[in-house]
Amino acid sequence: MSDIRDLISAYADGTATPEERAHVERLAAEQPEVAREILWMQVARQMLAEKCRTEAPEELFSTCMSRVREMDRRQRTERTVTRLAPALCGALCVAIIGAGVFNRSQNGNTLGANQVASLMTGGAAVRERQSVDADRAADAFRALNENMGGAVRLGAVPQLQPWSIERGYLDRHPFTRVLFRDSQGATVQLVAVASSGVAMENCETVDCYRISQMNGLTCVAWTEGETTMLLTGPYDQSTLMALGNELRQVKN
Amino acid sequence: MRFGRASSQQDRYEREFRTIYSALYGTALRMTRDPDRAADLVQEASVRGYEAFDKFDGRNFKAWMLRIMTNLYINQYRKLYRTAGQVSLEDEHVEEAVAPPEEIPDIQIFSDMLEEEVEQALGDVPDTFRQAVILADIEGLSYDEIAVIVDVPVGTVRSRIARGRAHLRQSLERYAIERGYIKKSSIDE
Repeated sequence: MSDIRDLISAYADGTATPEERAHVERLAAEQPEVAREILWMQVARQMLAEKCRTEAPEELFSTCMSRVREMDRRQRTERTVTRLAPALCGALCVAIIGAGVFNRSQNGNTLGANQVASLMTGGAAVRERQSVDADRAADAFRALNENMGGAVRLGAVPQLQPWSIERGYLDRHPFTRVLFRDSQGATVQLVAVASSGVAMENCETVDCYRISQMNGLTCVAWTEGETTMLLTGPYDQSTLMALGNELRQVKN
Repeated sequence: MRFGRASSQQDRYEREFRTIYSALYGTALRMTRDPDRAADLVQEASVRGYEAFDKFDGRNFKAWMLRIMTNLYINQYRKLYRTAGQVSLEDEHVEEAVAPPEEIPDIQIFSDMLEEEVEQALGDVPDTFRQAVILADIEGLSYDEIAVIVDVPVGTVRSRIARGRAHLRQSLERYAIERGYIKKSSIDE
């Protein structure tokens, strides 16, 4: 019967083939129950079509569209991020590397005023100290020049006798300090520090020198390539500048 | 420019969706037999539909969306929500539906039944057959369209519709007897 029912159903729906239609109509003419089944199938279609109409709640449409819009936004964001990801990564890398280089360059070449003051007052850590014989001043200057990587060429000054050379680091900046005694026995300090950017408070500039006061002593500074030279002693600035000239072997 | 295209596609989808979302909901409601689950199913289908909207061939949006929703239902919802009493086996037997004319209640009785009673009777029809009847008789889809939606041959669709209608008649008869529209003896005798 199921085959017949399938045929009847298809007949009622108008999807039966001409042969099937003829078969069903022949059966219906012979068997009242087949005719009645056809009628039922037609009633069922009509009844369902009429009685099973459902109106969806309006808020369902809004909810669906909200989800669609949300998904659309998310997809667009993802697409944008995906498209820009290589560029963003590159930019980030450049920023990180750039910041590192900048930081390194800043740290590598710049010393703050407080650091300089610390250096000139013995605050920086000394790793090596070497006494210098009075008659070996030339050796002290050679050592000083060598310590500065050959960038500094200072000449001996007769009135200053070196008696100690110290080496150390000030915040990763290597420095060399030479202590002299002058003819009066007063101590003069010359420091060479591997930094071309040295800050000094309230400094004035005369010729190639920057002059400042540190802990009651006058300090003159000048640069030799990437090295800054700092000279202090119990003198006024003219005397210190003259000493500086002699060390630099500059004749007035 | 890209956003403009996306927005235009969204507008077009919204317009299309508005015309068929009631049909989707009705079908979902009859498949799941639960308003909340039906709403969930429609929402999920709406998102899936939008995701695949650029693949829509522009012919029958309702059939296209019904296919998406039916697949969702088959793949996800039916596993979760099928209850012990629901049967969807293809080979399920329907009691012989064609009875002698004198034993069948007046078919007109069915036409006079309330919408709620018809819905309840339809809900008693096993899943697979109910789905075919819903798509054919309520949503008015062709056998070919239903075959694509439920992914079975047209012959199977025809068989499912016939069986679904037979089940429906049995359910309606039961309701008619329970409500006193007809007497049980008119069928049993």
